[in-house]
Amino acid sequence: MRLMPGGPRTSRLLPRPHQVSGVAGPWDRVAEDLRRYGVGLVSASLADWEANRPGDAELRALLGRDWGRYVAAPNPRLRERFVASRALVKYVAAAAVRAVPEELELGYALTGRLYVRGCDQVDLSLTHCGDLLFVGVTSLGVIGVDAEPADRTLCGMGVERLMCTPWELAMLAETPADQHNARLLGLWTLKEAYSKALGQGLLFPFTEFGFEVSDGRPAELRRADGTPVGDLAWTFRTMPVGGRYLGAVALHDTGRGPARDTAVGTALDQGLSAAIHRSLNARDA
Amino acid sequence: MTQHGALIDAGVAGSSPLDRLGLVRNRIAAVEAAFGDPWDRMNPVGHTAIIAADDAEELLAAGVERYDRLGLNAELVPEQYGGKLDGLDTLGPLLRPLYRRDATLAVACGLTSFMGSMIVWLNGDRAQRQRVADVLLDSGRVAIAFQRFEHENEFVREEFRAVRSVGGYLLQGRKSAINNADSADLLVAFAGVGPGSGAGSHSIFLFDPAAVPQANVRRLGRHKTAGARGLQIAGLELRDCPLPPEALVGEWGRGVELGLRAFPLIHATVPSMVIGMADTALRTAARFAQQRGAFSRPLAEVPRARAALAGTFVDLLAGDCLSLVATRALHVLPEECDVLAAVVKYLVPKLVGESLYRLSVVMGDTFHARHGEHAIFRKHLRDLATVTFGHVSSAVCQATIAPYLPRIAADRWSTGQETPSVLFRQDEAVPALDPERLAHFGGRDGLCAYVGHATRTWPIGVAGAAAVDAAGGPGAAGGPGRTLPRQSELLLEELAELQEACRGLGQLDGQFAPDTRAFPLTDRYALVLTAASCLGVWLNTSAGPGDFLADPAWLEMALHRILRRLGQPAPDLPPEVEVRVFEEVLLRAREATSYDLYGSRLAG
Repeated sequence: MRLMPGGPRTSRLLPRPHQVSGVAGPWDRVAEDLRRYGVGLVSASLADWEANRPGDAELRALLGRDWGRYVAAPNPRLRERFVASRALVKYVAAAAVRAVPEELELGYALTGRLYVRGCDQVDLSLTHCGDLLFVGVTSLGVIGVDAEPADRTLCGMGVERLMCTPWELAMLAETPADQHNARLLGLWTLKEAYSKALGQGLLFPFTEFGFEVSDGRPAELRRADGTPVGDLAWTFRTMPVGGRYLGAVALHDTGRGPARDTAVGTALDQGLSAAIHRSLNARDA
Repeated sequence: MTQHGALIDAGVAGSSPLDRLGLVRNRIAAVEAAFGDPWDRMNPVGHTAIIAADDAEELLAAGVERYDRLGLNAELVPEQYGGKLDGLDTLGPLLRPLYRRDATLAVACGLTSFMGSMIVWLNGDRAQRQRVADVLLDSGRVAIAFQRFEHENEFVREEFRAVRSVGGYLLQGRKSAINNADSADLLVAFAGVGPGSGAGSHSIFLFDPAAVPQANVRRLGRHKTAGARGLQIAGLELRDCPLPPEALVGEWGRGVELGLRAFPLIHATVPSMVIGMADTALRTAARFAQQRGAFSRPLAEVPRARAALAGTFVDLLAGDCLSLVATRALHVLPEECDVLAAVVKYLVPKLVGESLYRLSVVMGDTFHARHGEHAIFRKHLRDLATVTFGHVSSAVCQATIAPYLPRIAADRWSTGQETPSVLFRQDEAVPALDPERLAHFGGRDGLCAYVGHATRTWPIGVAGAAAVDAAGGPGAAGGPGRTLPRQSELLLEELAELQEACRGLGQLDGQFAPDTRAFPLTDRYALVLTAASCLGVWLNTSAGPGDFLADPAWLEMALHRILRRLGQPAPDLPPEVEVRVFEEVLLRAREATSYDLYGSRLAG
């Protein structure tokens, strides 16, 4: 029997992150990336978003149910970061589902994972580090993102044994000393991104899964002993983001299909809705 | 009362007179026994064989043979047509033994025929119903080709077209993904017959794809999926394929409306089956966690593992409560069941998916195992998205829920009608399905009112425990269930907010304009209905004192998780709640009883 192409592709291409400096976007590029790649990546500077912060009335409408969390944040610094990150996420989500940001609601899974409530056609992930906000959004399945300063020193801090599998430790031992830190940083961000994509944050012990990282190629998920997991539905990549950060993306393509329409306005099948309305109206007549 | 066939009852000896719940448990145990211990590596229908078939992208032949030998198709056929189906509330639990082992087998043999046949039971004439019954009781298969939906996946991306012709109809067009397209004895096909997707746009046809002129049929290649890789999905292209007049199901042009009748049945029942997959995932994690050396400390002292195992079990119970209530509503409140059924299909697969990911923190390295004792976990994880149809399911379900939201706003839940307690009782029989009543969209909700009812009817123990807790003071700690009253108050507050928000949505007159604000509200509404179902099941359980289901621990934890998902400030749970649930998870793994409301005896 002839086999038709279908299901997920291996190592999907990912777009470059777009830098946005405020609510003005540009958002059409994110929507276009989502259409083309099934993924949109957005980076922003916290300072930019704080400078362009909406007024209180507008903010209250934008934050919706998050307003209480904003008010309750223990200090002004955290409060401003909360506002900037939630505003960014809402605008990214709105661009993805072509809706008005104020009408969307962000939900929190039990592990704290953010999602757009009632809009299963997209999944998103947020990370912040220093002045950077980094958001990934996808229509393919689930996504996790992470970022660290590219010059952050991990080497020599004793973290290797806390975050690496035995196989990764062996690989690191063979890595030239001048590449050691960069390799470690890549592993760290990938593990964060994958664990976030699964919705587990730091709960999934980092010594229980690993990555093979090689320059210019997508990273590959490995078991603790180095055996390739071989799940073609996942794509893992690191990339420069926001000028001086290393970003990582973990993407699960659940095989829902390519080039899907994510617009919230067309998500409800019109034929179905209309048929229900006809029935309801006929009953009332 | 159900009549039992010899095949289903095989192996259950000396059963005393039992209520419906006991009889269903026995039937489940019999299916379990017939498929044997799935952990036994030598079992030809065990996990080892299932994973090998999946790797080869084939359907497990020994499994199909076992399914047919047991005559399990009879579970899909209503009693009046010679089958054993006497209530859709028990169909999901009865098929869970298959889903526990291999969703591919369950979908290939059971689910596809179920979906196709439901269209005909509800809309076909007597001859068509009998034809479907005869095919199924002879271990045949019924396939289904849906119409196209917006936000499509491969199963609903294309559709056939049909025109009237001299002597019948001509069917044409292609569908590249129809499960069992090449082996089905009957095909239920939706076809476009008019413009758009409104009134007069579609018709439904029933025919044997091997009996039509084969010159007009082109069989397309096999279609592969990311999960449930052994499914034999293939395409069909029809070119002016002639069908006789008796192939039309229901009236010409009424396909969308007729399909809508069957949606609640499919929506409510499928998630109930899928709970079986999560059962095995949780069992795999619980077995792994109890192995020597799984953790550096005793399992009970690993908070993340304890929380994940207990939380998953409680989510399964919550999903089962919602499924139970929705499947019973098909019979008990048919005019109101469509929204509830859509809520089940929308929410339960999400709960299950989230739980499976959560178990990664227990499984650690074995979360990624592709071979060996724990590899079944990963297969179930992979299959889940495929068998629950991902987003398409959500959008279709939301399309069903959204038009009702403005009406729901007008309901007076606090003083409204009483929710019948029979909705929550596993041990009571249900009236037969009534297609005409199913066709009436009620737009009412008789379930949400139950949250208010619950706050007025707490057992004395719960009210007393809460009072002790509220009095505070050193050492003051009420007994079991003491957070329930506060949890219910929060649910009522959520309900009031939800109604307020629904009032602002678009009006019902004229064409429905999609309102973005309806999307988050469908999610909130689904969570509140889940809470109401859990409350109803607990307050009406026939379980005796000392039985886990009668213990408030699972309910408190379930409501806690629902409130947190709603973003409500759920009160902290007493520590003993999680411990009680966690111990039950380990007990059910040791004793091989199911992780659901049935607590059935499993084969392993």
